[in-house]
Amino acid sequence: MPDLMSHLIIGLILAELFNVKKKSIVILGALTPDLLSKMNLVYLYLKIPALVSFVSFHTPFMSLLLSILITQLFNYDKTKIVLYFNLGSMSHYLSDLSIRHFTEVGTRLFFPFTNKNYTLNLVWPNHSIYILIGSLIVYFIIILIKYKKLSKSTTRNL
Amino acid sequence: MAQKSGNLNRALYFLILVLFIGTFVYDNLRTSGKAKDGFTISNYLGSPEKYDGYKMEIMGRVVNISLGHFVFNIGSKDLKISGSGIKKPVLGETALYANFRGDGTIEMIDYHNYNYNHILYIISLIAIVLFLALFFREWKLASGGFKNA
Repeated sequence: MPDLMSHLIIGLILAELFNVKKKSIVILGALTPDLLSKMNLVYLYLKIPALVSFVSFHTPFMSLLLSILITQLFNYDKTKIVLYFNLGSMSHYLSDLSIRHFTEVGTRLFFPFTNKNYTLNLVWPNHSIYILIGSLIVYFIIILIKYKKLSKSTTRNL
Repeated sequence: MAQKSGNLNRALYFLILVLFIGTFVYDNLRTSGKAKDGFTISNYLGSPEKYDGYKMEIMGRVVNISLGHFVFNIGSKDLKISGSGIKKPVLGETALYANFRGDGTIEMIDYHNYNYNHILYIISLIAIVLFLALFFREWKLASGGFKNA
């Protein structure tokens, strides 16, 4: 998916469903795979040869390693940081599976053990706006349900 | 005892760091090895007969459309592609599925315009700003790293 907003909203949905306190870590996990791997667009627009490839950052294995490395930056439960980050990154890779291609381009789910790309070939990247709208609707429904539940329990307690 | 477990943690952390950098370097070496022997645009342009019939999807920008062919920019190179019916994308790039023939001509098999992709890039920038706002609402930077805000 080319837009990070879809990844952000899907990450937020998962954070709400799993009642994650530190939602920003789930979002960090959901956004990180694209931040470095999209350097190819910089190469394209600045017309410079692609000397270094950052595509390996767009793999679950590298996300797992990165999640362990960033635990040192947080004064918080390290296991939770790893879990939240990987919840976000897995949502990224699973939603990227929907992207359509002409050939065997996709997500290297099992890198470095295999370089095989996986894709379900469902939507072109520029059509991900529909995924964004759909996920926004789902997110607001979840927020509404949670708000209603919370206000009900508050009324009972009174 | 606490010092021993601290040292073990540091050693494990160092190993993970080495594995992380090692995997990144390995993938780059693998790609450059592939670039030497396998199909790349540069290798194809150097000796097209070696790659006759190779089909690949490439992303770039349609620069100029003429009768029966068009110029396709892939960053550092402009490629002349034979084929008709292609249209320039609206605010975006093009995914081109092409057949690389042995005589040096590149034929378009199919294409898809990523129309309005640039708007999605702007939306992505807004997402980064939203993330930063959420992050610094939950965390504050202190001497020992990020702590609960």
